[in-house]
Amino acid sequence: MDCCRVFGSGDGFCLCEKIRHSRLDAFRIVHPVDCSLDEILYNTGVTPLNQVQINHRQLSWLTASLLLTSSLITLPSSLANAAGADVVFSQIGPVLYALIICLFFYALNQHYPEKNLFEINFLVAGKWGGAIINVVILFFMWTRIQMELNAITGFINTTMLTRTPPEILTLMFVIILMYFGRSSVESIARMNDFFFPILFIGIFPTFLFVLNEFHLERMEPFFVDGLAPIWKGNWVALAGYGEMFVLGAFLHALPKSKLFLVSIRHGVLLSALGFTVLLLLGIGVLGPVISGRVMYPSYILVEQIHITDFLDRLEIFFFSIWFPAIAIKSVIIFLAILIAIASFTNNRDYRVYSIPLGWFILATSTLSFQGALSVQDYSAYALPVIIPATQLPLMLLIYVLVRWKKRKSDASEDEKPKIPGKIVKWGTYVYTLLFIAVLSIAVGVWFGYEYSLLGQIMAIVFGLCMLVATFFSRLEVVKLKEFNVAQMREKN
Amino acid sequence: MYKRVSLIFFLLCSPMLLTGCWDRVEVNDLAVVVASSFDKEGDEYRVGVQIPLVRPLGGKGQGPVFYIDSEKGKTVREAVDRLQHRMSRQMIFSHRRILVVSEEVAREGIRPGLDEVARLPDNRLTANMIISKGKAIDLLGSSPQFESLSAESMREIVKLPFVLPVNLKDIAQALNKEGADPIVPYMEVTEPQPKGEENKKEVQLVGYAQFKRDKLVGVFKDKAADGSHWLRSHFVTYMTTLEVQEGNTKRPITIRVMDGQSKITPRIENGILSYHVKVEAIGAVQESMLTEDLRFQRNQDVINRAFEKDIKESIEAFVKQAKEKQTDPAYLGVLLSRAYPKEWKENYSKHWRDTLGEIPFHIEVKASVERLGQITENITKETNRD
Repeated sequence: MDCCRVFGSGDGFCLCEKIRHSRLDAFRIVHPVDCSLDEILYNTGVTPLNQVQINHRQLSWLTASLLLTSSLITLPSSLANAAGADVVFSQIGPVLYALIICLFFYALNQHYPEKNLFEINFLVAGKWGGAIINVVILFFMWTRIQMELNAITGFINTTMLTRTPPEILTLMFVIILMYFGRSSVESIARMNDFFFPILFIGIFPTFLFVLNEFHLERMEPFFVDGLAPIWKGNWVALAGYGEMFVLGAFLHALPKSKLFLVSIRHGVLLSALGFTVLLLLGIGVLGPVISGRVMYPSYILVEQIHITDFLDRLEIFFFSIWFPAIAIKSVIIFLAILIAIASFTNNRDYRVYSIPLGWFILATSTLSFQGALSVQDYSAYALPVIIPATQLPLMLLIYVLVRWKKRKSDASEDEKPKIPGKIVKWGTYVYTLLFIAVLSIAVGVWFGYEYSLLGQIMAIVFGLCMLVATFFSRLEVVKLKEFNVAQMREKN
Repeated sequence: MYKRVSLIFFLLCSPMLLTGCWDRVEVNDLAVVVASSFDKEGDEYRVGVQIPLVRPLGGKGQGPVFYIDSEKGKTVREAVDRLQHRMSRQMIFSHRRILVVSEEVAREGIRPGLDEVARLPDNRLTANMIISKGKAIDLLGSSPQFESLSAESMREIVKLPFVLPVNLKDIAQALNKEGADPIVPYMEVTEPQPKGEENKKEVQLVGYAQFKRDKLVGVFKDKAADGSHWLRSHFVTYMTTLEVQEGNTKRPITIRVMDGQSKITPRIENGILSYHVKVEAIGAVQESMLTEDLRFQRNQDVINRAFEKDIKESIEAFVKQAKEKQTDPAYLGVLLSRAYPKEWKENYSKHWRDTLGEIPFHIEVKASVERLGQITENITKETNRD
């Protein structure tokens, strides 16, 4: 067995030298005969970075974490400011936008299954063209991570640790980033497997705990201010969904079939559902005005929980559990930046850049935003314009280049198994429900001003559509996974 | 070797991080504010704080169990800052559950004083506000018998099952909304009868302070205060005493309203706005001075009618007082905006207070006294064996 074939080719592998060699030696002692590369990798537990894989569920939850977690802290206030009581309808537009990004990544994934977005850019746009595109994306991601750092630091500094210097809080956070920067996306996916359910499921007990403060009858009626607030709310919410682009960095590690599209779509809907529930809670408990005027409505919302005199101040407990989930988003963006930087050197072993990048981000964090308020303003007023203005042309450009390159190389695509209609139908239902949700908003806006009951009915229809669409998308993921497993077994 | 050295270096350095907790405060250095008061002196606020003294409370010492101090300032926080200059312990407001605002401050407007409550993270929107008759600091200085601290006494009173639950968030919501005004518990200092220990003074709930926007304009007391229970989002139980005609005399019977439901529906018919209030109530007899046996349907019917009349009168009293002062403590505007958004926006929202006084109310009450208690008539009543 040629050791260089496995480890020495300069591709970069995720385990350190010592573990690598000790495990390999131990394996050789037990199995002195030659065996295949896959067997060696499997038996030694060595997973090279270019073979990192995350499964469909991890992808769904990772997508939802990326979109939902820290946005829960930074976005609700701006959203309530923009949309008032109609804030609950603010997720549908961004969901549709995120689905466009899903389709774009799916197309890339089909054409270049083993490559990530940055590598594809170099392949299709050449050395300089690819570099320019990647630098643009890199700049976007750097801005996003700066926003995250400043937002989270600002949040902690305003609510919990008011005297701790923000620089120290940022340093602590950067140390976490540097730690995860030494691992692969698999590690964060596994961590997310634990913390995302805590965050997501935690939203529903919150609903129960603040039910005594929830006054539906005090809420302002839906749809009475016309389309403008809903439109503005959807624009502002777009800031949270532009992050989807970051997933492009992990394309090589994601499922290679239709499962990719279906999983990521489920993640987007999961995030939209969680966000909508929390926004509804916010305006039901605090009202749209207070939600818009406090910096962190989610925190104030949890602060309202008071179950007898003993179960008070639960926000500290809730946020200490939620905090790791909130940090996941930053870690994902950090890893994406590392992968982007590594793509310039044609080497997937990005770990070497983790510490320098961490220090760079720490140093530039003080120069980027003047505290949490400027982050919120940037997120509410600048990002909703920047995201579609940069991402849509970029996606179009990359897609055209990919199609052109593929046509030029005239590569024949592999025959793929046809997915049965009984699975595809769930996807069709999801799209139909999203269409009905959009339609319910249109009907609500059209008639809600004159007939308030119709507006309320449309709001319920919208909520049900979002809920059922999320459920159906989950069913689709499960059915497709079962189908894929069956196909694999048949092949074997 | 390199890794071991790194590990040892890291372990040696890590304790240094423990010294850097900027938000660390020793419990011994804290003064926990449990209640504060806002009074007005000239153009400035006089802010008072009530702080429990740990040693007497723990039973290890003699003397007063709390400490009250106050200071003036242009803003609430300026006054608090001045207070802090003469306190060896750092005041924290995380456990403040009661804010007492004097009638005088409330008449000028409570909005400015509420800013710091939401701005600083150690304050909580779930705290209760109380409007005091007279000076607010007098309520803090009262010395109730049952509780060590007057703040605790006030908090327990506003949490009693017959008191409308109103916290700072509710007040803020009513103030920032068109078509709604807050009502806030109104308390005074009183002396127990007969006077017991010297200087012992109790706090007492008188009614609910009536606000027009953020300014106090009146107090809902007695019947009107009872009526307020029917026009809020959730019904809260209360007790009422009816006068029932028996022969030539009127005899009292006390009833607790155990359960109730009210539905307020705005209606616009032929361009005229009216509110329909539909009330259903269930009562329980607490004490009866009637001579008749309450097991008989005819006697129950008499009580039921009196009970319905009492509820209707209480709602009318509440509505009348609200109309007179052009206030909307029942969220009538919000209800209208929900039912008729177009009409509210185009015709009513701009002149809502002027319109309030002219709106007719149709009150329909269905009440029955379903619980008679353990007896149907007084057990000492002489039996007529003839």
